Amino acid sequence: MTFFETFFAMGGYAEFVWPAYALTAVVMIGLLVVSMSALRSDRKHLENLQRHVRPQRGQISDQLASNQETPNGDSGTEDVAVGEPATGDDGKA
Amino acid sequence: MSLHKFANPARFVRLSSPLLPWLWISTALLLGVGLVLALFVAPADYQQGESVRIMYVHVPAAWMSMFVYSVMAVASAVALVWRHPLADLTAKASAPIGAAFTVLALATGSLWGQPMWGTWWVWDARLTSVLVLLFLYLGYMALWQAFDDPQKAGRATAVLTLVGAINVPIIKFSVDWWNTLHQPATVSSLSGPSLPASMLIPLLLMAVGFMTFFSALLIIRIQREIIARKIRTLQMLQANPEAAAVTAASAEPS
Repeated sequence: MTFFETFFAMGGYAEFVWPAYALTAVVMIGLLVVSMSALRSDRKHLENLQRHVRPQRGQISDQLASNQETPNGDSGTEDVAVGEPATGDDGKA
Repeated sequence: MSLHKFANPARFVRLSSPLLPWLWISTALLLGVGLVLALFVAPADYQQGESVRIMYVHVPAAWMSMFVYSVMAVASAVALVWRHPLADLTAKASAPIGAAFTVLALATGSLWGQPMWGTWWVWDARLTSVLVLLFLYLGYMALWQAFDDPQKAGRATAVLTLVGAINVPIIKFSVDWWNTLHQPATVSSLSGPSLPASMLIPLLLMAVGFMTFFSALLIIRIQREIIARKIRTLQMLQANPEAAAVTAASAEPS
């Protein structure tokens, strides 16, 4: 038996050891994929909403603007764009 | 007051995002080295032979199943007592991860039990209490779905989590309190680990790797919950500006 044949045989316990490792890998990678795609699609959804719904000035827009941060800073400029007019208006008023 | 500084969801996103690359790199290194040591370097057990290698995924998954629940219990207590706006989200984001680790602990344990005990399953204290833990996770997730109002859902699920927390010490000590097929603790026993270093080191590397994996995943899932809540606020704003103002103000006391 070659090294790899011995290794994969797992001393006769291959049918128990490998499914345990495979299942662990599938579940953990699955969790990661599901969580990442949910974050990505919700982020896109939020960007679309913010593009189409410009909230009126006032309490709400200030509140939303203060929370407008996206993790990777990839849409950071847009956040500022939504937040800025509100503060600008306040400054002039 | 100082606690509420960290309660700001925007601040959470800003502080947690730079951690993510480090957590993923640590996870890859820990699990990579851990797997090599576990599969190639660690010796076979003198009684259990090569089947002992299941330990390196089974034990970390089982530890995480209890650790994640403990995180949820602390978050739930914080949510109920201080109304910390991130606490609910932390518990909610943790639950599916905890449920997944519990499934892994049960399934890999079953795969280990069949060759070693001669049975896939036995209704003893350890296995049954871990099954109860899985049902607590599933019940928690179902309860979130049952409410439209996230505030009410957060409160109800927090109470469920705290009541169910009694199960965590029961799981831990079940192997000492009752007769069971499951072997007693070898790592976290009072007399110190009774495992040789060649087995203990890969086990701990895998366990810490599972922990960094959980941390990174939790950050991603909390960020997603924060965004989902913003979407909800925006949609309410669209439908009814007056009502949305009240909800937004009460939901985010930052």
